[in-house]
Amino acid sequence: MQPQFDRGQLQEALKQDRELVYEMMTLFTQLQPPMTLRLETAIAKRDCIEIYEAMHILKSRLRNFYCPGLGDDAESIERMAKENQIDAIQEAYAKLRVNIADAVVGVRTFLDEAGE
Amino acid sequence: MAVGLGIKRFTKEPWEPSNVIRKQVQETQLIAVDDDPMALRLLSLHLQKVGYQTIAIDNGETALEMVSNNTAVVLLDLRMPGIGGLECLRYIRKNHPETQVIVLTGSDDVQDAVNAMKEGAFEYLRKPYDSDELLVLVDKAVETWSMRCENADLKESLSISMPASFSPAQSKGDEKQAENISRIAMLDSTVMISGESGTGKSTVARMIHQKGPRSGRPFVAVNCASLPRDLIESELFGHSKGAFTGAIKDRAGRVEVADGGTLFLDEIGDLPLELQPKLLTFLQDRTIQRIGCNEVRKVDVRLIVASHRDLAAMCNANCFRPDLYYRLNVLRIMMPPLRERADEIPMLVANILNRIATRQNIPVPKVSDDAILELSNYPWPGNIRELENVLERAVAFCKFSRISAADLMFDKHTLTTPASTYESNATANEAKPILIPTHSLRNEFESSRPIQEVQNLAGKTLDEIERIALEQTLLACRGNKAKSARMLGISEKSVYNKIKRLGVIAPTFPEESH
Repeated sequence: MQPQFDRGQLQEALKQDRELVYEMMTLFTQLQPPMTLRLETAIAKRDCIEIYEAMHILKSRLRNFYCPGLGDDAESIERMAKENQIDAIQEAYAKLRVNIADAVVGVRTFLDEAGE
Repeated sequence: MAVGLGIKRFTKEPWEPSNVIRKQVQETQLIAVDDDPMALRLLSLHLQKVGYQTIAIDNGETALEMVSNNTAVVLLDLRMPGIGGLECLRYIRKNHPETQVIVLTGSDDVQDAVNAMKEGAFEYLRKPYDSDELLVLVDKAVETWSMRCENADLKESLSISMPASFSPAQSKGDEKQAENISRIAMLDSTVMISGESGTGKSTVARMIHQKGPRSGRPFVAVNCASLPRDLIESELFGHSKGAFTGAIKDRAGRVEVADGGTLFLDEIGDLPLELQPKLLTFLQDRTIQRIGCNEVRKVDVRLIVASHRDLAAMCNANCFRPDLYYRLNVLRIMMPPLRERADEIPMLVANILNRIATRQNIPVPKVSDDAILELSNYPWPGNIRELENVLERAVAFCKFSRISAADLMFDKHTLTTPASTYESNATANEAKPILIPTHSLRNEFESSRPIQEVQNLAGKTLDEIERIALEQTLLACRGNKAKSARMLGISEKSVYNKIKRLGVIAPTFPEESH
């Protein structure tokens, strides 16, 4: 499986400010569960405005969490929300959710290895 | 590149603050506003890392409460729940016009960014942004803020004092004074500006800076009389972290902040004696040491000092160090008191009223002949500043836009306060100026009006009465302390002690200065 995060970025970030990377990891993992709940509720309600707003935040959050590719995926969903493509959103979001979970595991493993 | 990760592509040199900015950042307040905690944390970390004092706020409502005139830059996320970025921007532009706003937008919010620019944003930054790009932009915004604040200060000081005291072609004396200022501005020597309060000393100091080669550099003004005694050293020379209780971080002093520019020390006569050697050291070798720090820093500033006090007399009374006085008294400018320019009062009145009318958006009030006569006969102990105040009050209370003598309300207290300064006839570069007593003091003494004097003393403290008696006796004895002592029936030593204790400015006369 391809890593969902940008290894180069993360490596460089560790060199620049190790503490900051760990802080970002903690922040992202703390913020993600409420974000997931918010998105899933909005999708269940087919509320495209709410999906659009939440995805807008998630998009930059993912880019800040060394996952620019996933940030782009979130941006695609944001656009779909703007165009009210709720069915496409459901499918794309299910994929994004799995990828985010993989990214968190990947970043955590990377940090563990780097810390040794 | 992702925001705030410190991940750098290094396609250009990493951001390095300029020296001026490096000094400014510690003093500058920034506000970062973003509803996403992660983005907000990263943004603040970036700014704090280079020393900017940053307040992080996660909503527009609180941000608007926190913005003040001391806020240099607001970094504003456009899309926020509640009060959005654009609304915040409008409010800030209207209520804090000097504060610069950088808006942060998503990649698909181009129209929002355009709208923000139309509303007066300093610049917009698209997320994800490069950290170096962010800092360069903040750096520029802080410089703009700083320049705007300085311009606003300058405009204010120009609008208050300059036209009144230095409008062109008001008199030959003014023209000569303006010419001297231009010449002095081009030199790099220390300037001492003397004159009573309200004669425009600060304005002249600014003019010298603006007309000189250092005009593009900082002009840092410090009023030695307004700073608490305990803080003055730290304020001037800075301190290092932990130097004293409350020194939570390193801080550059005003002398350092003025590096490359001009340092204006107003009311230098109020600089505590114990701090004078440190200023002297600085003048001699142009180096400073922050409190609690061994590092010696070289600072290049032009020094301008001003005082309403007679510093030479203060030296005689051991209240001011003579060696410092001689270091400061290189180029001397005397600001004449308004009472000696009574013939210019009608012109000054017209100028000031024009300005007040423009500011208040009202027609220029007319002034009756009896009012002009009264204004011309008044001794103006508070000088041009007092004239401005009297006219401002008159404009507020006059009827049908016409000021008559009855509308003039003078500050009676200042009329009974003897002037404490002396005018010098000395030309620039003379180390020992010839001093003559001011008009008001001469009047009090020469025109013997015992009844009036007794009335004036009513309600004064004994110390004040003693001071007045001592000043007048010294004046009558042309500064001769032995003679004054005999006249007052006390010892000469007591005269010296009282001069020191009561802060009396002993007059110096030509025969004494040789």
